[in-house]
Amino acid sequence: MKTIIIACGSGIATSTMISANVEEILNDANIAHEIIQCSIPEIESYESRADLIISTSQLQREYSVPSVVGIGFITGKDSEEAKKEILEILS
Amino acid sequence: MAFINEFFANLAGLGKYLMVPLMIAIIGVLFKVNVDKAIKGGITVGIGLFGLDLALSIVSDYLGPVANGLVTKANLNLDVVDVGWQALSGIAFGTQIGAMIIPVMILFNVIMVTIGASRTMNVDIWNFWHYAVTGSLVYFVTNNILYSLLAAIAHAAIILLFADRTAPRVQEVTGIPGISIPHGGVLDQWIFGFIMEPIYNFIGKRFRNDKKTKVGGGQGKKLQENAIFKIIQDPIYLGFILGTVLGFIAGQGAKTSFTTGMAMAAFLYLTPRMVKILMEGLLPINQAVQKMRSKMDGNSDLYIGMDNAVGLGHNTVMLITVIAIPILIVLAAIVPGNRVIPIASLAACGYCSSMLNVVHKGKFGRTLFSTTILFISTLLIASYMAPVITEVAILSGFETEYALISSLSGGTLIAAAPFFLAFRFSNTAGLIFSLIIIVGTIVLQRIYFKNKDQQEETKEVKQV
Repeated sequence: MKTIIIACGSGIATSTMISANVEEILNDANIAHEIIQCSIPEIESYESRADLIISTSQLQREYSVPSVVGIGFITGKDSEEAKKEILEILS
Repeated sequence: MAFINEFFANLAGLGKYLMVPLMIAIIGVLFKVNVDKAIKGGITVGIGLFGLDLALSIVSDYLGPVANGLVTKANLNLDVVDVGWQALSGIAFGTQIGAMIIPVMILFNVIMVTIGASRTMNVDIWNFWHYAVTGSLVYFVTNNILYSLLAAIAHAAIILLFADRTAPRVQEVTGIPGISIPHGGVLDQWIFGFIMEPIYNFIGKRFRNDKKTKVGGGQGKKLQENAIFKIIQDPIYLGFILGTVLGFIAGQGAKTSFTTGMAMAAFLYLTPRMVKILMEGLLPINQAVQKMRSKMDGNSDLYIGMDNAVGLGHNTVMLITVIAIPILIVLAAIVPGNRVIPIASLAACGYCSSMLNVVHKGKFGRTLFSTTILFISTLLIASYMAPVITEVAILSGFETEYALISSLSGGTLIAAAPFFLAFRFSNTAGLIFSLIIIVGTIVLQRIYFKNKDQQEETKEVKQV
């Protein structure tokens, strides 16, 4: 079971939109998953449990877990790339 | 006319727990969402409203008494609880205007793009709540749906203007192509930023000092890792410490102060999660609108309207997100006339500077200074608007005996204030004000885009 952190500025709006897209991708790929939604400052508190971080903006620091920028799911551009990256990291 | 008003008054009489889910479900169906998804979305929004009321009840039960104590026992004139944009957005969606703001704004945007008055596809339906605040404040003083929607539309019009004009700068600073920021709450940042930018340039020319403007990439990360800043960025710690300290200052005994600390931590932690549920209810409509947008997007000249949050990743903004916290607290204490205790907005300081950062092209000193000055006007306007916005919240079902509420973040109150004041002065004044803005925007924008296209054409001709 893969644990994914989805983080945005507040943990409310943008991350909710992205998590819908991510759910779809993971369900289609048959990857069992748990999604944690939070704000970017809160990533650290969930870091140890996660396999992947998806954020809405470039993260300013390195975490022990690979990260992908997911803004493409909202703008519609580069969403295919982000999707590939995510599936690569989780398989 | 009277019929429309009566219809919406009856609708409102259902109460927000019925009215809003109903409207959301209907809108969903109109946007071709599956009926079952539309209904579920509507009910989910209703659940979010219930959740928000639960979270806000902490304010009236626990934080209000602290505010009272600060006024009576500590002689500090701080009687307004800052519930933040997080709560304000939830409250806005729970009003009559909020229930219908989504189709109104989408229709308005489609019209603006079709007549060449905007190149921004503002499909970030979540952020329509800003216009709902404007509309609700005007509804409060006019009781007229048409005027309220007109004010909301005028607000949206001027935001579209700024969004289109700042798009290149936004794309440059955030590094994301093809976007603009039609966010209802950053009007103050645009206006203030563009006033200050030439002033800074002037000062910069007279006092050439390169050392001061060099804030490189390292500072943001180092500051983020500083233990103290980590603590104040965590809502659990921030809430508990701030609540307890305020409790003591307000003369509450030890037990009550620590309980207040717990209450504040609970409030800061729970509110965003409740509002998130509300947002989930909007997702089906959001997805339908995205589909609509990608069909319209054949013409790739259009900007994709994004949330203010995309500016948060910039190093300067990350720094300010943290430094602004103590600055805001100190300002709240010393600014004469301020009545607001900053609480929920402390976590949102980044939003208050992200577009200033764009205007100042990433320069730290300028953005920090502008943010600080803007805080002062935010405090004063939030204080002034507190009674009204509390009334609006009460009318939509938020119960408070003890507390006045307001918000220092979201930027909405500053943008909405002119409309509110105009309509309060007289309906005619508000009407004229709104119409001037709408028509003015359309005219100015059409001229702007015609000129821009002509410039592009002459460039191409020259290349050939």
